[in-house]
Amino acid sequence: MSTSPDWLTTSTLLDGLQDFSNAAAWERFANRFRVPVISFVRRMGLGGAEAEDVAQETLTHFANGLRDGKYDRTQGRLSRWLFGIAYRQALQARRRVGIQQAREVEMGSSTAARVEDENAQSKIWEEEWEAALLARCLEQVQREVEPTTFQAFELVAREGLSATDAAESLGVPVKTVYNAKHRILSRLRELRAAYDDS
Amino acid sequence: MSLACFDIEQLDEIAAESAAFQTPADGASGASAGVNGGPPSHTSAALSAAQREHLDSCASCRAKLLELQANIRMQDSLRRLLGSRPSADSGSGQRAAGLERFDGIPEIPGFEVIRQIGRGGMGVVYEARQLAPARIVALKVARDGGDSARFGRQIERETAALARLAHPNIATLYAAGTTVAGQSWFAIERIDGVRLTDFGKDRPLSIEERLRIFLPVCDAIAYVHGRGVIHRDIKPSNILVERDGRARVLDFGLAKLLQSDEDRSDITLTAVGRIHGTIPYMSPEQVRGGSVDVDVQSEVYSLGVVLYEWLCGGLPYTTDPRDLLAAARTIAQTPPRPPRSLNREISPDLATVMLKALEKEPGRRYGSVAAMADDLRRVLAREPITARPATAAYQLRTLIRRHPIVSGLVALLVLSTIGYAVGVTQALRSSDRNMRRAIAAESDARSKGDAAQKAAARAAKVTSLLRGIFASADPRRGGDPNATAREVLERGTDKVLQGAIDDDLTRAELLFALGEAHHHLSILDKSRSLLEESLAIYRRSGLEHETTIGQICHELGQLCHLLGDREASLGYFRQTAEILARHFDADDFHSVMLVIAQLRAAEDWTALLPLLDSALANLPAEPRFEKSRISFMNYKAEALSVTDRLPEAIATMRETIRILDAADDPDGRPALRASIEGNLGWLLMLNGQLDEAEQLATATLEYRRRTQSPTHIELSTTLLTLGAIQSRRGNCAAAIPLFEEALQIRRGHFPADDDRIREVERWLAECTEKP
Repeated sequence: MSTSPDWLTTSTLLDGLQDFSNAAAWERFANRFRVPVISFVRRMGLGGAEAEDVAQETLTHFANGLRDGKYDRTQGRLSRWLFGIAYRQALQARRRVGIQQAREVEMGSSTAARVEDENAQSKIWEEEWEAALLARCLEQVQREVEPTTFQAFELVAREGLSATDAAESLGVPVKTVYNAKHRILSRLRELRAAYDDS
Repeated sequence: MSLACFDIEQLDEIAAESAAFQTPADGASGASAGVNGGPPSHTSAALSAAQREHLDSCASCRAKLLELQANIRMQDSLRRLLGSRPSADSGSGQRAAGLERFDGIPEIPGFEVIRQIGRGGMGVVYEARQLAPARIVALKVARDGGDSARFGRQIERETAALARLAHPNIATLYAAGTTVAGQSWFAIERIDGVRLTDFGKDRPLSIEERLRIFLPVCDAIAYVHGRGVIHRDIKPSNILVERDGRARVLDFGLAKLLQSDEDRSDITLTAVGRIHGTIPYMSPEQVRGGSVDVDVQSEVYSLGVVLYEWLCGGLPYTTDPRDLLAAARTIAQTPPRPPRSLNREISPDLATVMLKALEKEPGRRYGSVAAMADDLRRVLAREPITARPATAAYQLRTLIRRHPIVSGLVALLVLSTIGYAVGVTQALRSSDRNMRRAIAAESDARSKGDAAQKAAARAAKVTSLLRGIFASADPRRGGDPNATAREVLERGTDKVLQGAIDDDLTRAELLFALGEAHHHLSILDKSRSLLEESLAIYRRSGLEHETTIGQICHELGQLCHLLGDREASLGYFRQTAEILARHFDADDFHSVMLVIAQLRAAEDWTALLPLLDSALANLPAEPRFEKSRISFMNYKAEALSVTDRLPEAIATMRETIRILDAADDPDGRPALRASIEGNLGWLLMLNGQLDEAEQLATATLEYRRRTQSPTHIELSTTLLTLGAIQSRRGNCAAAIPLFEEALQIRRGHFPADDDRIREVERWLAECTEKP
């Protein structure tokens, strides 16, 4: 089984973005990164259309920065760079809608408070990023295995059903459920590790 | 001492337990943990010394355990970061990741989710804290992703079922609504109990004690049936027993509401063979024909299986749970093991009751769950029971019925129970039916002259031809073991029709059976041509076949509807309605309801009214038909009002209320009453009787505000009525907010161009345009 699923080729994807007319590359890029950005922005207190707008601005800034040569892959992880942009955009948006003012009154708008806030947001970002990666790994695995295998995995590993209940609900032997669960979890670890290496 | 290597189940358990003692060393992903990542932890107290020793000495088991421990950490990360909802079944990466994770814990004002406690096919169940009144509840929220609209509808249906129910042995519905993210939810009483068959595992319970725990379950189900709800998934895991021995029935997720719109659409939706329920507890008619036939007597059967398991410690049949097809076949054919062979404490009378509940033929079971409960009470009181053991003659008939078609049945049930081949079962049932008719007719024919003899001969011929098709699929007769039902049917149909059939009616009957089979296998065009050919022959053959013609028209109505030929569909339904009006059959109630639904949808009031009149005149005066009578009267009032017969419509609604008042129903059915009074309010408004209309609509609104979600569609109807009354009074200031609220609710349910939205907009416009 390959450990290099198509969606992991970040380099190819970013290279595609260099070309302004490459709509397909933009589409793929946006599809991949919009989810963690929107989730992060929402956790910063922005909702609905506001969050969508911030995500769009973040991705546009990112793509423009990339085209302007601002991103140097040797200088840090892509996710950190994206975080910086998303965080700034979200702060601006919060100011626009008055959330920041309220928070500043509450926290005192000291530098220390802002650093603390940024650290907390950074943690949230890491979670969102990881969640997005895992979700993509899951999608990849789902494409690779039989639907019943995936269903068995979902029931026990994600929904917390006992293997016996899952087996009963799917009409398969209990052992099949255990095998499905561990086969998929192993594969997920493999894919996730491959991403770290890419 | 040498010990065999652990299997994956044991290793999983050890890994899960040891993971609870560990802090994930490899971050969220668990990516770096592997077989070489150090010694596995196995601190489980449950491990015996020998097991520990084995784990320490067996490199293979150790390596596997390390792998599984890393997997468990990955599982924890998934749960923590992605929540518990299915990830990629929506096929959308965006939904799979952050957006869903963000919404993973449902946001419901007034509730705080504590943890997830379960998951069904359509919803996730959480333990939650309700803030006011303060109490712990079980919160069921429609799953997102996949067919979320269907999950939402099912949750709403479950809510509707639960809303009808208030019984000490059924978890109480507290509240229902829609989450911020638009998912339907409801909150019910949180039951702290164990599944029925697990209760008493730690201490012996006598048969009497077990019956006393079980009887309230029967009472609850009998009550449910009385409220027009069929549970459809009765099994031990849906019956929880609390510490004090009080049993509670749960999970109405598959419940069917009789005589509701939902129910009628369900007839169409499930006709192609979705199987609901859990195989070992499904009745023979369920495993043979999908859910269409699930009724009170199917539930008697399911309760019979639960009772059997509860008293005997095992299921009535020896089945391999891994082979569902064989299990389904067993349910349909094999007599249950005598209960006393498993538990000698079961009295002969009790065994008779149990076996009567498990009869293969619905008609031979108890007519209701209440009747079964009555007999169980007689057993407890040591009084004579009503059930009698099956006679030798009956057993012989069963045998005769079973065996001539066994070879075909084997092949067919295998095919049919896997879900895509219900049609063959249908055909087989029709073959079975034919054969029974043939057996009966043969014995009667001698005394009843020529016509009966011909009918018997015809039935025998059709049966033999059908059996020929299906038996060819039997691998033991050289059939292709991998052939699908569809292939078998397609191959066999042309062959049999090309053969010599010397009698028109035989041909018509055969075409009908094959048409049904094709329909149920979704070979729709072919089905239509077969049925139309059959219909043409019957029509040429005279009036005595009118009920058969009605059945074929009904089948063709459904078929053409599926094929998108609405005009033809309506034509066939109209013909069915005409025939049903002349030959109303309460036992074929589903057909009547479906035809009514179709005619209402097509707004064909002229065809609908005579059918409703016939149905009302012919409905047996039994409590189980009372709700139907009320529905029919409601429909009749609707039809009368739109055909400008308003006074008659109002009289009909008043009569409906009178029936409801006369019904022996302690709680007075508040929901039903609200609907009827609301409707009467509307009619009175149309007729200019504004004072009475306002009185009724205000009371209905008060009821709905108190008991229903603020987005409930019925609430919008009442708001519209009240708004219209105010508008007619010229009080637009009072009417406009009512219309606006109604509009907002309906916009949440229907597309912008839906008639139901336009209707409110028209009223609103009329008001805003007034000077």
